[in-house]
This record gives sequence, C-alpha cells and structure tokens, in this order.
Amino acid sequence: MAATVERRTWDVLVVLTAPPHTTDALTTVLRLAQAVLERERTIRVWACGYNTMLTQSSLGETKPADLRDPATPAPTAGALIRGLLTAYKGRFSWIVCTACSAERGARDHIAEVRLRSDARLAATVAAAHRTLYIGGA
Amino acid sequence: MTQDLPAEQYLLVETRSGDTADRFLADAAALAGAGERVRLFLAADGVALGIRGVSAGLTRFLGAGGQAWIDEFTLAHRALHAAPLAPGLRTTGMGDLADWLLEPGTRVVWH
Repeated sequence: MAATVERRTWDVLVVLTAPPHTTDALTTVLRLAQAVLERERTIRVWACGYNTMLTQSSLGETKPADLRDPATPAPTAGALIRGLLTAYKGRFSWIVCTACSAERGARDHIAEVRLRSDARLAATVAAAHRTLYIGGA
Repeated sequence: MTQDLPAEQYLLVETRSGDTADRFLADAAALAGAGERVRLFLAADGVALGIRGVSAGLTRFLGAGGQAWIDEFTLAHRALHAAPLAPGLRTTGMGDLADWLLEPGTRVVWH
C-alpha cells in the first residue's frame, strides 16, 4: 500500500499584494493576524510585490517613529513580523514570493520567513481553510 | 474567497472610500435585501463612510437589514473617535472580525 502524506492545513491565508506605505493594509493585516493568533488559530501571509521588501535584514530592528522626534525609535515592519513569528511559533508564517523578491532585488531576508516560488501559490491556497486576497492585481 | 459553499453568511470588509466603495456597498445592500446575512466591517480609509451623513450607500445597506461595524482602532488613529457615526453603526475591534472570519460558512470579501 502506498504511503500517504497528510498535508498541514491552516485556518487563514492572506495573500497580500497591496503595496506597503501607501495605505493601512499592512498594519490591518498584522492586527488581524494577531487577533487570529490570540484565538489559538493559525494564519499565514503570502507577501507579494513590494511587501517582499519588508523583511530584508538590512532594514534592521528600528526606525524613527516620527521625523519630528527622530530619537524615539519604532519597530520596523520586519521586526514586527519577526515578533509575531517568534511569539506564535508554528502558528504564524510569513511567506515571501521569490519571484517578486528577485524582481525587486530584495535579498538577505530575516531567517524566520519562508521563501516560496509563486508556482506554489495554488498549493498554498489549497492548504488553507479560508483565503483572503488583499490588494490590487 | 473561501472553500465553504454555500455561504451561510457574508463578511464584507471595506477599507476604501470613493466610487469603488459605493459600488461595494451597493452590492452589500443587494445581498442584504435578498435576505442574506451580511456583516460589514469598515476599517482603514473605509471608516470615512461611517461618519454620519457621508454615505447614502451605508444607510441603504442598514435599511436592507445588513449589520455594520466600524474599527475603533482606525477611528482613534485618525482622531475620529468622537465623530458622529451613522445611526445603526457600532464600533468594535479586530477581535470580533477574527471571530467572524473564523466562523464556518462565512464567505469573506475584502475590498
């Protein structure tokens, strides 16, 4: 009898194509992810387009919170994502689309994120009970 | 997009304002008017629609039997926490949205 491999499923998948820094989309997605995780459920984010730039190691841990008060630091998006990945290990995942990342020259991502080819998007959607598509084409 | 068919309820999330949001609200009102259970959550730029007198589409949606909430975090973030809201609109947070999202049989559309 052939062996079968049971694929892991996730409660929610967010496919995030909305570009960062232009709307509240990224903040809203991170808030939604935290709320889902606080309910002991699982969620992963597929970062497309310019969202693949957010998790580059070169962006560091902090940034100025306010240009009028540059001495007060705020966490970078990468630090926030790493924080969720660390706090909810195994229940939160951040996937970087390799095609989008390569197109933009984004390299050296933080170690906690996964890099995945866009050829795997359909399989990723199939492994989710619910998929949200957020952003434009 | 969900794998649940048929939908037992709809969860519509509006994060924009303007013409496309008006069309989204018209679709929401049509669904509610057809007897579907429809929840609408306004967040990000979409909270502008929840200010009293701004959106006729929201009034039509609520009149058609839909239920609507507005994101209290975004209201505070934009210093709108004291602004008058459309009658029938309630404030809530991301926790309720997560609960609704995770309910079986929910079809979600995020705009």
